[in-house]
Amino acid sequence: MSLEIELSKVTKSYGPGKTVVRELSLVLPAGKTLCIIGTSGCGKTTTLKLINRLIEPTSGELRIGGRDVLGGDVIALRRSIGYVIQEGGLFPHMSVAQNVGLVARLLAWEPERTARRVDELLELVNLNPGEYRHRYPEELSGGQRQRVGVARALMADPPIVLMDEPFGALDPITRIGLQNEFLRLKRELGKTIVFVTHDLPEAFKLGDLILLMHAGELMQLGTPHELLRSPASSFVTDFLQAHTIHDPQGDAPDA
Amino acid sequence: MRETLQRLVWVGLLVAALTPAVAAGPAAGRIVIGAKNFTEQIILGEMLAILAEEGAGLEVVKKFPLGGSHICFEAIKKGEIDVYPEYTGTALAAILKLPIVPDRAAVYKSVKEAFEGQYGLTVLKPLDFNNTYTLTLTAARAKALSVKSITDLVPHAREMLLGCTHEFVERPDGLPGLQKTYGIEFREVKALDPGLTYKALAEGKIDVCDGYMTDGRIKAYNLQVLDDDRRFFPPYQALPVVRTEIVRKHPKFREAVERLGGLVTDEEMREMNYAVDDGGKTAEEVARAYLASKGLARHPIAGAKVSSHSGFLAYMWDRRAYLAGLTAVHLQITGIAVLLASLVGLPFGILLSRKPQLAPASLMIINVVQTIPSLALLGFMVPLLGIGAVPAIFALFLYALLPIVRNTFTGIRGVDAALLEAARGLGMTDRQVLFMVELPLALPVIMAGVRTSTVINIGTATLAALIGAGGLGEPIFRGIAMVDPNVILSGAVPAALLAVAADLLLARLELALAPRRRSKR
Ligand SMILES: Nc1ncnc2c1ncn2[C@@H]1O[C@H](COP(=O)(O)OP(=O)(O)OP(=O)(O)O)[C@@H](O)[C@H]1O
Ligand SMILES: [Mg+2]
Repeated sequence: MSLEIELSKVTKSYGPGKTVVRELSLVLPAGKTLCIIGTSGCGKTTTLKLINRLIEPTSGELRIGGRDVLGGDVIALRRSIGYVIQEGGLFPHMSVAQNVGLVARLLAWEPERTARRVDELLELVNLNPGEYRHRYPEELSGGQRQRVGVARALMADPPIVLMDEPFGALDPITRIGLQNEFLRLKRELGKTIVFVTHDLPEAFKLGDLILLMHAGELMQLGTPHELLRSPASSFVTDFLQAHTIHDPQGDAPDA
Repeated sequence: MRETLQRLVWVGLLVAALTPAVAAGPAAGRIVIGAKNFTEQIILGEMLAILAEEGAGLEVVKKFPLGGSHICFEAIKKGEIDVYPEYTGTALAAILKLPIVPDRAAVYKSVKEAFEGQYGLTVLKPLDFNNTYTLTLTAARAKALSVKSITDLVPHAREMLLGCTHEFVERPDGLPGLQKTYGIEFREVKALDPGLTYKALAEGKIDVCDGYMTDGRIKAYNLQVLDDDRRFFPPYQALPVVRTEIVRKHPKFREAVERLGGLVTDEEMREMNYAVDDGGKTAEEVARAYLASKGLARHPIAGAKVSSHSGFLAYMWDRRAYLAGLTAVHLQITGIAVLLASLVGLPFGILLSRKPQLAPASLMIINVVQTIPSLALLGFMVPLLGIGAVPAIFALFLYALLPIVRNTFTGIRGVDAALLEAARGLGMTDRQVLFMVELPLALPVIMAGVRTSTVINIGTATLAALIGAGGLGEPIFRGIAMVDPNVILSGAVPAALLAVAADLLLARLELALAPRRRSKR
């Protein structure tokens, strides 16, 4: 199951002259992955949190699956959206199983159903349930914590998953491993995913669509190929030039 | 006798703690006896107790030593105690604040009229002795300076350090009046506990101290009493003050106590004080021996009790039941106080973490309460709540509040913002965030606050004895009044052990409650 996400003219301002997201409009079709990139402080995290309403927009509209969600029940909305943050954001006082099963606890699932689902998810993220179920976060490596974080986000099988630099703090080898797993999960699960990163190669590798932001504004929204082929502005060209990018469609970067 | 006493103290305090002023027991009635915190008062208190028990068949609750004249007077006004020994001069000058006159009969008359007319108290016949205030210095020093009277001392006083009781510093019939009458000024004035002044004088730590005429230690330490040549100090005859209601209800008690009227000379009182202060006798033994010698009480059973304490441990062992009772009371008042403080402080700390803009002002107010010296806070409670366990628990509750509120607040505020965001992002309600994330993660800090409160309170609760709440402060203050290290230690050692034990126990509790962060391997 997956749902379309639509932002129209969404603005977030913390007061005059402190507009951090300006008139942002985009449509992310159901089942697609959007990678948001841009320099530090450009508004990536803010955009992500606008979607699960951890931040309420100053103006604009937010529709999920065609339904306006700004007026609705915020708790129900969040429980239907998976959320993964850097280093997993695991609760140190809960075991792996408790962390993963948290949303089920909030939704008051039967314990057996929760336990079954936890094991299923741990296997999905390549952690042996027997070995990891009863561990605590401080007994895990960074990569393992990240996997648990992903498993936790998927617990209630949400149609949408938001991920904020989930692989940010990992070494390149682990990172590439997790990226490949992400691609596998993406194929298997077919969810609508918004993925924040400031790593351009990661965005190009994982995203069906790329949103390049600068100072709270949309610079360009398109497929990786479109960004490389027809950059919307010299800013986009310069931004891409700062990295060596491999076009997933096989063309060499348009230098 | 010890057993009964211990049981009575226990029952009295329990009852006082839970439902004040409920009488119980098979005796003809119950009487609560107070006395101030020095030897002579304790002896007089014991005499009143023996007379009440044997002469009137009453069940006795001893609430002494209490921390001074005003606490005793407040307590009897509120009906927290039924009787206590006062002095005519103290009642006149310190309590009624009437002009000081030298004539015994005139002083007695004004006090009797005022107490009976205004306060519903009955003043019984005074005892004979006059425990007037004096100034004393070592005989050697007095001789060297050839000082015999207070007037003689005036020219030397500017080089001298006066050590005296707190009351003496304040009372109109103490230092202020003395300064007015004689124009005497000391280089420095240091306030000490009444039990300590003579010792400090003998050891040369102070130059002059206030003395009580009937104090046995004046002789023992070879001190010179200065003549009050301008007749400034009023007479101080011991005066049993009883609530009129009690006198009406128990006429036999009045009869028994009035037989003491006109008895006890200066010399007899001095000997009794000395027997307790330096002779190793208990106040109760001395009181009983005196009353028996006058035919007012049964003689002590020969050989029943040998008071000379052979050693500290033996002394403790002798009084184990009594000390166990006090320990239980001590634990009870601190326990209730900390429990109440937790019940109030935890929600309040949570509230502040929700409205942090209120935190600085609120924490400051609680902090100010914390900075009030414990004795002063206990003192404030007396006019409001009387004496006994209730005001003590309330004061201790106020002390316990700050560490609990502050640690709850900082503990919750200290929870990693990223975790709170994750919690909200997963769809937790505010309540769920509080109970599933914030409180479990803040628990070690909160528990540290509870531990701090408990340990501080176990120490502070010893002071509660001064307002009649009992507990381990009782032997400590008795010991200070009688300068008996064994008696002091018999309260201080269990109190210290209690603090250590409570700390360890709470540490265990914290471990048991603490969120696990590692799996059991
Ligand atoms: N509560 C706030 N009040 C005012 N300004 C804020 C607030 N939160 C964020 N900002 C500002 O909004 C801007 C965007 O922040 P955001 O966290 O979305 O950036 P980002 O693109 O995720 O950056 P990074 O790559 O460093 O994570 C920043 O300039 C930040 O300082
Ligand atoms: Mg960010």
